[in-house]
Amino acid sequence: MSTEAAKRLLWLDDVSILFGGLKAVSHFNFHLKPRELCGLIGPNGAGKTTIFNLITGVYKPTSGAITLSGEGITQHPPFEIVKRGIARTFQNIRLFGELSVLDNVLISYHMKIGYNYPDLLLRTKRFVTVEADRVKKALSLLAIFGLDARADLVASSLPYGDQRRLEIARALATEPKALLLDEPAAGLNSREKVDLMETISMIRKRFDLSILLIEHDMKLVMGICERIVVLDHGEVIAEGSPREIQDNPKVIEAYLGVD
Amino acid sequence: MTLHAFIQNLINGLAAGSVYALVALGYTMVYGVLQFINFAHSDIFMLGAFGGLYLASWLAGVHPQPLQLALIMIGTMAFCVIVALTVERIAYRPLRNAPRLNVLITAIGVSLFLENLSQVVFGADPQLFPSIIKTVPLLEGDDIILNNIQVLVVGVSLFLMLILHWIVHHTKLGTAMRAVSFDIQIASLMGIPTDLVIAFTFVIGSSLAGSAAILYGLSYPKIEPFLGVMIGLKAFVAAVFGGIGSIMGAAVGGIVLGLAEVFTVYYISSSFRDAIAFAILIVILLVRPQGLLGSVRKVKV
Amino acid sequence: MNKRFFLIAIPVVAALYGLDYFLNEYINEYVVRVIMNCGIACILSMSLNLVNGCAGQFSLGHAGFMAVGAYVAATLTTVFPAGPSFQSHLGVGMAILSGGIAAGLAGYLVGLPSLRLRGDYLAIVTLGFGEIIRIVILNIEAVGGPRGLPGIPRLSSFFWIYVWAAITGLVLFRIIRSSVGRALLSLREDEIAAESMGINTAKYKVQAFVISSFFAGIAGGLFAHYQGFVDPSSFSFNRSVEVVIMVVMGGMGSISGSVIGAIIVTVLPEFLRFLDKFRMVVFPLILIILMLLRPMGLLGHKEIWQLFRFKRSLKKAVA
Repeated sequence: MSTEAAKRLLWLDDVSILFGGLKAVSHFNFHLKPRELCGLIGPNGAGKTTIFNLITGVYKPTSGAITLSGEGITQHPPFEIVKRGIARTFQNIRLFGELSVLDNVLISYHMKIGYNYPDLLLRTKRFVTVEADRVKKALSLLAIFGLDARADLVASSLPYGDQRRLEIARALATEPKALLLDEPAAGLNSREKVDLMETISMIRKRFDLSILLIEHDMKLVMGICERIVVLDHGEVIAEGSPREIQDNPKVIEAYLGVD
Repeated sequence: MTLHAFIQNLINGLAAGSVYALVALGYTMVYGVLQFINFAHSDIFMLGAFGGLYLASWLAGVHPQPLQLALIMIGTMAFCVIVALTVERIAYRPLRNAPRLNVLITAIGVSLFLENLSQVVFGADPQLFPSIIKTVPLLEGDDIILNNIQVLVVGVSLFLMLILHWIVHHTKLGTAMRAVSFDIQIASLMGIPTDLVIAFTFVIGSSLAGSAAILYGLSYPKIEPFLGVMIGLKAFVAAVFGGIGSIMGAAVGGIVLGLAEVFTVYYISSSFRDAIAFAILIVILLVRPQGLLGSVRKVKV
Repeated sequence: MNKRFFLIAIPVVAALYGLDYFLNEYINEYVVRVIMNCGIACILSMSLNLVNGCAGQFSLGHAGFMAVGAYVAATLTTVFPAGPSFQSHLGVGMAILSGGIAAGLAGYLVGLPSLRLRGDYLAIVTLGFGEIIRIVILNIEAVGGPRGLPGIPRLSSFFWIYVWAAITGLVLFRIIRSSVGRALLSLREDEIAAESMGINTAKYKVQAFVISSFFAGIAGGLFAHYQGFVDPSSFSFNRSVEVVIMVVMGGMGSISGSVIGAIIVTVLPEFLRFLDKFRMVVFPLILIILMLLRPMGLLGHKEIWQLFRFKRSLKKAVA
């Protein structure tokens, strides 16, 4: 692998997608470096979430290629892409509402092969140890988010801010190399937003991963991202450090319009 | 195979298909608005047949025959509407925000209730539907018979479907129905009285089922309490085949199903008559899940 | 496999054997028949619960799988030239197992379309498959077609039916309390989120269908060898609906709920006999009222013992 390629954990090469003739994302070129915290911003309907759906395999691009650590993942189904190291959260929280907080996290550990049908039917020693290990791991992960004491509760009964955190915890349990956060601050109050900023920085250090962040809260994005990509009408209109983006006339135009 | 036999089957299939189409419309409209299979719709059809049977004996003295038939049909449609509205009000409306599975189970419950109640009221033995109109062959060639009932069935069906098309596409109510089927919540925010629109959908669906029941009774005059089960299933298949939620689709689906069935009986075996509908269903769902004329709705992530 | 398992299993098996003897000797035939039907209904409802309740894939074709199991097992013991060699407890057991495996294969075939279909569409396709299976059997002369298949050795006893019911319950319960079960539950809750957490939704849907229809086939085999006679009308759409009612009544995803549902649906009509011909009118009425007043079923998502134990100590689970 060349040094240039090594810098790219995730690479979207000229990706476009059409929805009934409408270009939702057009010729999108983007790469995410290892351990980078990158922001993806743009007005409503710019195509941000569509890009998440393309990366995670929910949508297949009309043209272009997506590569993760040098391996093409363009045509993989979502669950294969998770296995290869991309996890996500959702704009409108999608927890397993009727299941417990603990089960929400345990589900993410599922793909690590631990035991098979005979094991689980006969409750072998292997089954018992694997299950106990997973519960232990899940609880310590929940502890990071201050949710371990409420592991028994039904997920939908948690307060909104905690549901957001649980979603992040659940995504982290898949042990990703890249974490995609879709508007994690939406609906949080200013105190919770500050907490969230700290949490995101902490996650990156502690779990040693790259984060791609969609967010409308500029203070948050400017505060923690190293690099920001601005999207409008499915196209990249600017890219650079928070400072560069703040002063970019095109960005101001996209958000405020021109007279 | 002879050409004559083919044409005869075509005629029979069209007549049978028209009845399926009328019943299918009731399924597709309710599904369009509420996204659930109204299992009780088939029993509304069955009740319509019995209603027609009793009305016919009441109105036996009315002449001329076309007037009698028209009165019976209108009376039956009204009867079906009353039953359907009662069911909607008592069983379905309280569940509007419940999980869809619950509504489906309730619909099955209502269906079983109506069937078993009919068995108690009307008895389990088949009854003979009166021949309100005498069957007169209109066209009699070698091996081809076209009778007035068949023409009546196809004609009335076509007429009702045209009225329905007009209601849905050219009236304020129709616009409201389409809005509700697009998104019930937004429609209600826009000031559309959704409960009323839903009730009206049931009114249209059940009156079509009522008229279908009379047409069915004229063509196949054996009526029994479980009459609706198979016809209902097949009509639903027709609706899915055409693309559920699509009115045109239900009409086309019904005709296709009627033809497929008649040809299966003629060319394969009468014992596979009921299987062909399901075979068609499975094939269409695997090849084109949205149905012939349906549109895909993307799940929003 | 641990010591505790045998400490429970051996007395249970012994008790079932004893009960079998007791029922045959002292209890009248009518009551015994209701008890047998309860056992078969339990197997059906518990197995359907895996697909309907846990995985959230609405299936209306359970009677079809039961029919496959019943006819395959009955064919082996009755029609097949080497049939007589199957006419022992062991032979019938093997035949019933074969019926289960055949039904499992059918479940695999039906599970495939479930990958592309959701909700009501799946319901109607499974319904269609169930009907097709029935119509195909109607047209097979070798098994009697519409007249049915008589002369099946009546070798499923109380003991065998309830041993199978216990096995079904144990297997399903263990599946649900494992990563496989959690994967199925996640499908029910949110398929897109499940896929995004690495769950191969297609694989688990098919697995759920195979396991569920295997047990439905077993129930069919037991049913055939208990009745001594099968005909296609025993496996109509109404039978499928009956099983769905059991599951919904007990609570989606609750195995003990399914058992309760099965018992109620089987026994209640017997108690309603005084209503005479109104019996079958009252029954759906009860279902509608239940849906309106307690839509989550009697137990909801919980197992019966969870209703009394409010907090599970996690610390204990880890230690």
